[in-house]
Amino acid sequence: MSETIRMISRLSLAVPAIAAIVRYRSFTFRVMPFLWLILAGVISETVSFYLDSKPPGYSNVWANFYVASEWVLIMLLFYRWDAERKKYARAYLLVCAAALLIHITEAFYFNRIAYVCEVARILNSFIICLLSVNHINRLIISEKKSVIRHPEFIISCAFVFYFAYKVLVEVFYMHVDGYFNPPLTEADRNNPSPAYRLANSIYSVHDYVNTIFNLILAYAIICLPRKHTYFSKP
Amino acid sequence: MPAQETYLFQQAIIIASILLGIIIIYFFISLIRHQRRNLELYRAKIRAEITTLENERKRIASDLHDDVGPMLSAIKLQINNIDDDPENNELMVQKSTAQIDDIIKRMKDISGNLLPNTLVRYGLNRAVTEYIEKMGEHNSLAISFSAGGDFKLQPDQELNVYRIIQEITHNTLKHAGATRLDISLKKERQKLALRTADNGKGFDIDAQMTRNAGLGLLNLRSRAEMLGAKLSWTSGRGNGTNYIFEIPLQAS
Repeated sequence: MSETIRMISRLSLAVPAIAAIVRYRSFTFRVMPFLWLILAGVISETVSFYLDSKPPGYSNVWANFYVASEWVLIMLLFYRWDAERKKYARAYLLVCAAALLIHITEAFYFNRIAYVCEVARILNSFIICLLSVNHINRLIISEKKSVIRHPEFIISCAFVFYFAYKVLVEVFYMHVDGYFNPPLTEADRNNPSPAYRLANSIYSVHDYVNTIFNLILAYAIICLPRKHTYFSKP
Repeated sequence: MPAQETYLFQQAIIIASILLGIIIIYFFISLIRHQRRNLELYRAKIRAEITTLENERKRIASDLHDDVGPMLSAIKLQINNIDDDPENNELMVQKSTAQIDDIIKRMKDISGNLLPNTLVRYGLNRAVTEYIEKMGEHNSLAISFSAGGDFKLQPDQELNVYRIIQEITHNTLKHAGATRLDISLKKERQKLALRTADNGKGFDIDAQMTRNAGLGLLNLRSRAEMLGAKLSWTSGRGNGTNYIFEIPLQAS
């Protein structure tokens, strides 16, 4: 059953991907990084399917690479949404570069390239949550029309939903899955401690969260307005 | 649970709670920040509307005081100087008649600037055509106007659209340094799309619209809100400025 749910979760990315193909012409400058994010997700899932048959280190290396690219694309998306982006361009660049540097340091200097880089994931997810919350509030206050069909509002809500959950998951896994302890043995995994069981319980809803996240993104793509033709000759 | 594991477990709960707590607190902080910013923008819009109204009143007062007032004084002087000499009187009457004609023309101009008679009598398309012809006479800006589709606007909607076109034309003349301005009014499904495009120097319109927006831009936003219209734009340094107003049409 859990394998079925996991497969559905991984395949659920096809829903926003198909929506993106159908509504490709609606992607403007402002939301183009979102399209690239969907594309990166599709590529990542495709490669993950292949790497499932390899030792776990391979898929972790790929996952670390994907998380870094996801971070850059989401920062680019928020940068394009920020009406005062020219004023805060340096701040965006600094935060993006700093987080990438932390990720690279954790991966290579602390030799976690073949494992999950939890510190980088926690930091990235936390910052994305803050940016999403900020954007949601900006839209609630400034939009004159209903925000429920505003694609940026929907995407930001999806990000808060998914990345807040991710913060929780990664913090627990960092503490129970070998970051501070020696790596867990097969015996440990067969007879997990209560802490590990709790972390697993939190992680067990990941597939549902991921599926709902993908469906919300698909809804956001459906709500994208048609591209404006700014001026057409009579 | 072993002691170390308990400690790490508690640490995990504390860290997770702190991070989620920060997110929740930040939600409220940013909500208040944006609300304050929106309030500033709202006040700026009200100030802009009042300033525009006061400027209009000043202009009318100036036109009446500087143009019409002296002419009427001159006519009064001439009437007071009428005497027994018929030839002199004939000359006085001719001069006064000419001056009264000037006053009537000037009053028509003042009234036309306030609310064009053409708009009331013949509708939006003709009023806009007349307006851009008049603007083109005294400026180097080439303005083109096209209207398509069968649409009917309420009188107040027509007035707002006319004012929007006036505002955009004025902004283009004053700030854009453009040589060409294209205006199009077209019915698209249940909406009327007003599009304008100039080939001027453009500006950072997002920053202007977010804070400390210029008078003209605030007026455009106010007009769009009054029409229930959706306002979209593109502009950038050296790329000209484009506006679209999508005005909902009432179902017939």
